[in-house]
Amino acid sequence: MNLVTMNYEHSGDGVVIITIDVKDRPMNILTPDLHQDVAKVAEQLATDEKAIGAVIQSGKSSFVAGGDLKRLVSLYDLERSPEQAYSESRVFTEALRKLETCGKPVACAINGAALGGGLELALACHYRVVVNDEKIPLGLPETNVGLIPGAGGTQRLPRLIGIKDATELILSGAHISPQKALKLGLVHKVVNRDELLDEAIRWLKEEGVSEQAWDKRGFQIPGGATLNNPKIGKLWQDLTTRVATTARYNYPAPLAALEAIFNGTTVISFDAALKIETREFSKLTRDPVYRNMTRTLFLNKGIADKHERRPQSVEPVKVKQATIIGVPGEVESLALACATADIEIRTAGENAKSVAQSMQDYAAKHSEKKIESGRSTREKADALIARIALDVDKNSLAESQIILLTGGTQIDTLADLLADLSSTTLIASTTSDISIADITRVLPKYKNTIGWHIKAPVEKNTTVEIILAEDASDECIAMSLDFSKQLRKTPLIQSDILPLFSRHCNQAYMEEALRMVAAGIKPALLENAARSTGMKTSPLRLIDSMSLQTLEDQCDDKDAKAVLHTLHSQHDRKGLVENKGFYDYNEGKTISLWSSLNEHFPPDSEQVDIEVLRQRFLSIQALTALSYYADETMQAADADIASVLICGYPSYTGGMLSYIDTMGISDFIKQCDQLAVKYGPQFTVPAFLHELVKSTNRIYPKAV
Amino acid sequence: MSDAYIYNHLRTPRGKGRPSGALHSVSAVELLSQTLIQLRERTQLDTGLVEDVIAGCGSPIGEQGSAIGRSACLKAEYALTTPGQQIHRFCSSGLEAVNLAAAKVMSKQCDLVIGCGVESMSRIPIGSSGGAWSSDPSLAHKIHFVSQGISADLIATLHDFSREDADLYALESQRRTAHAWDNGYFDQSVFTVVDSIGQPLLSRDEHMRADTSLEDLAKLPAVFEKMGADGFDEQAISKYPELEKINHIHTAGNSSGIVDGAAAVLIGDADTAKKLDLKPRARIRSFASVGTDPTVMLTGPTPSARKALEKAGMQQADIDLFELNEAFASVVLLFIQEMNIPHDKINVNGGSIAMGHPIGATGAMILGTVLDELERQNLGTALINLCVGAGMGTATIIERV
Ligand SMILES: CC(C)(COP(=O)(O)OP(=O)(O)OC[C@H]1O[C@@H](n2cnc3c(N)ncnc32)[C@H](O)[C@@H]1OP(=O)(O)O)[C@@H](O)C(=O)NCCC(=O)NCCS
Repeated sequence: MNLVTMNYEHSGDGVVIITIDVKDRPMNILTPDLHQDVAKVAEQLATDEKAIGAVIQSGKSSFVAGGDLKRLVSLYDLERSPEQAYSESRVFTEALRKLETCGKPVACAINGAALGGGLELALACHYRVVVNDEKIPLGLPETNVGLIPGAGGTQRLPRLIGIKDATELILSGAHISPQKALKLGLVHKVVNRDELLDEAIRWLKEEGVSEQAWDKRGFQIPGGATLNNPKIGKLWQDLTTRVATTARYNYPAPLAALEAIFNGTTVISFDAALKIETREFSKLTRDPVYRNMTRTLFLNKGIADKHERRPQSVEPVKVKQATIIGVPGEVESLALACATADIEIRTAGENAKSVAQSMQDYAAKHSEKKIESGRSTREKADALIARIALDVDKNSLAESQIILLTGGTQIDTLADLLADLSSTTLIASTTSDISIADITRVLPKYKNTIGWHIKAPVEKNTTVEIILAEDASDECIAMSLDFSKQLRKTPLIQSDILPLFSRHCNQAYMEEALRMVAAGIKPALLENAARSTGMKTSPLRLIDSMSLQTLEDQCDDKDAKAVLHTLHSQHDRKGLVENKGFYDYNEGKTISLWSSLNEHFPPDSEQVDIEVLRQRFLSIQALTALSYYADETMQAADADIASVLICGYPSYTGGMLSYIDTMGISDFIKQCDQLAVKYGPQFTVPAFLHELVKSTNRIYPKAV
Repeated sequence: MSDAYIYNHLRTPRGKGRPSGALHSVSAVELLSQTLIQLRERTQLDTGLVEDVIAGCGSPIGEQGSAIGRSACLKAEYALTTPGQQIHRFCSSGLEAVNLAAAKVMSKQCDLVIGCGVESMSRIPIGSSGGAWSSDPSLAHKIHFVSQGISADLIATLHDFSREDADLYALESQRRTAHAWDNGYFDQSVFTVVDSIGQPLLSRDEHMRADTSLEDLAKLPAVFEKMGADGFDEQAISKYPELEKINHIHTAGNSSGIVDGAAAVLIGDADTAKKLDLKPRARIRSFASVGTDPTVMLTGPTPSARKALEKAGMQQADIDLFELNEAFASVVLLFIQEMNIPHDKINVNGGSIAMGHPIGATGAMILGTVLDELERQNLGTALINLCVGAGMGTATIIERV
């Protein structure tokens, strides 16, 4: 037997030990070789006369961590027929079924992460024992990448633990601990690490059975199944409503999961159930949504996290001290994030005392909460708070490797404040009010100047936009990336040509909504249109969350300006902070759209089709993103990650550029041309795209 | 084609559809069987001549399942040669049973048929039969399934009917029902249901609240608000995106009540009436069922009414009385608005808001009610219709002879 990813060994007494060890990979992941090896060992075990059964274990520190995302992403570009996608998706399913019905008991010894297909492999075994370590994640996260479990997971899990719990796990994609898995009935036993193999062997020798419960006659799904049971009928009704209102008809995977489980748990034949699952799974692999989600949120985000653009010549930098300058209200969460990353915090300036105090207070409050919930200790909290110095001696800044300028910084005072610092200190503006040029103007001595933009609360958000000057030195690039890494933020880089990407895209989105209001589109309709596209925040709410006055100043469009002007200056509706904007709020909680909107912006008797509104919202942002890509201000992958993780653009699109890519450039041009005719020149397609479409219809190269 | 005539009809009183209801101890097949027995006795019917018993039922499962029309015939000791069947079109099942009975007569494939319906909501709760439309994800998702109460509130929101509009309508329904009972309008067609040893159980509708006031009604909670907040509102809005929110106006007081009951209508051609020495009371002029948007679901009455009028070659002005099932106040308010019907021409003796809506039986019941009323007022024509689950409507036009 020729095995590539595993070992098949007799360990005495008829016990076969199968050890999975995928070569050249830090973790075991599901490769086509592994799929085939499972089928091979199943056949071998069935005919191995000396074998009483087998234990499957991992030769690495994790068990099996799931699918090969890179390979998965490329499936879409293969443009497989439904039949081909189906039969290829059947391979692992059939291999596991072979193992499950090989006639010999198989125990699974789970020593580490068992996710996705890894957990599905375990579920096909007759016994599962796991190391008692709460850090070991077990789960079926496929819906997070736009897929569903496709190797029996949607069928075995409900048969093990009931439809309700199984569907919950599959829809949420949650990772659960071994103890939780034991409670749910997903695994049979939890043991200490050194007992793992012994327990698996013990079971094999003493209790080993080779038939799954669902292959026995008269098997009933725990908790019931089929619509003959009114409780189950209600459950499906609730689940369907939940999927419809959360996936909003944009993400096919959650619905496919429901269909696979619903239909699969209604049939009696387990083989029929597996076919039902494969149909749903294979359908998803031909849909761009999984490709978009996986490519942007996993592959490309992974690459961004790996800092491929970091100049290797520069030694890694660890930031030990940073100075934060600004005003209370702007500095706190940044300070907390830095302090959490082991950085000593200093501050300076006129109001340094109150700034420092405010930073400390915030950190203290945050730490208290963490202690309460058991996620931190008093000791750790004290150390963290102590890293934020209350002493604001100007001399203490000299050690700072980075100066962070936040909102409210009085830029003219900086030259004096920072006079004594080394010229290689990194000066990072975290506010759009201060550009690299501003800094260079007042602090010509400093060469390493960047924009480092992240939304508050900094400790929570995971993505940072870095603006680099065109002539940024290697040292500067390396240091900005290292600092981001120290704070565990995904860095997305743009050059200092266009304004901050996320702001610009949000601005386009809001302005388009304002144009709609001005043109008599019902506010509720345009809000619902935006929500139905999957945008994280609807545009009028986003507008309300800012200052309407400031926004008016920033708007280019005169109709958009006029709408804002009417609201804030004629009707004193300045935004959420004053509980009055497009919406009425009560202490920040939304009540409803302002009842007089209709009066001031009379709705047109004929409303625009919602599909067109959806196109307008998605396209106007895509066009904005395109300008960053066109002049190489930003790489496509970074723009896409920023679209989803910062701008709240829906993830099924894969980001603003993937939206164009998925539609095909020529269709996108057509769509924009139509929109431009009806709704204005903001939809004019840039010459760049007309050029590009001559050579290719896509933004990303084919993955195969 | 032959003409189909209504010879006679009758119904049970409607018992509260809960464990304390007067008819709770009576099985569905027994309710229908007593109705068939009463019909046989009142018309001196030779049941051997009945060529089909078509029974409507809203939840055709369990004791209400498996061709309850035939089961009730057997229980009522109709001739063994009389077949029976069961049909299901949600709330219009009972009217659809009448329509199908009429169709059999009109097409001359039968001379004498009973169209009937039954529902014991206290024993088989509404929604018990589940079904793909509401619970199969692949379908419920596609049609933005929401439950009827949400659809009723959606209609109110789309057409600006206020809570007060609905409550005023409900109050009038109670008043008219009480008036009709007090003046004996229902007496001739409602019989007393008895228990298995012959003791009377119920002879009057049990759900009505003649003493209701507008203030009482105003106090009732909006029953579908929570259900809406749990996701249905969002689903409704994603289908009707010009709405910001759903205005929940329906309560236990302005929605149809949950009740138990049965009704039957005897239908045949002119020759058979002569043969049996029965006097036809009305002719069935036309009937129609339509499909509409399944999410707002309950807007079938207007298109079904228009279609039935067209089939009959009649104008709206040719109809003397309208009888639209009061599933929810907004359904009737919308019909009144769309068809521009004066309130004193519709549901003149109240309806399901006061008396309750035993799903599968209601269609047959209200057809009988309005026929009695035509006779009482000496009028000629009536249009009967109901809104129906999954987005449908069914209508029937009758004309006295
Ligand atoms: C609306 C609905 C949910 C109410 O159900 P319910 O709460 O069981 O209704 P009840 O009749 O028990 O009334 C509840 C309470 O409201 C009050 N109430 C109801 N009608 C009232 C009236 N007219 N005046 C004053 N109070 C009234 C009473 O306090 C009553 O409680 P009580 O009898 O225990 O004192 C139910 O009737 C329903 O679902 N109807 C629609 C059925 C349907 O969908 N049919 C299909 C149509 S397509």
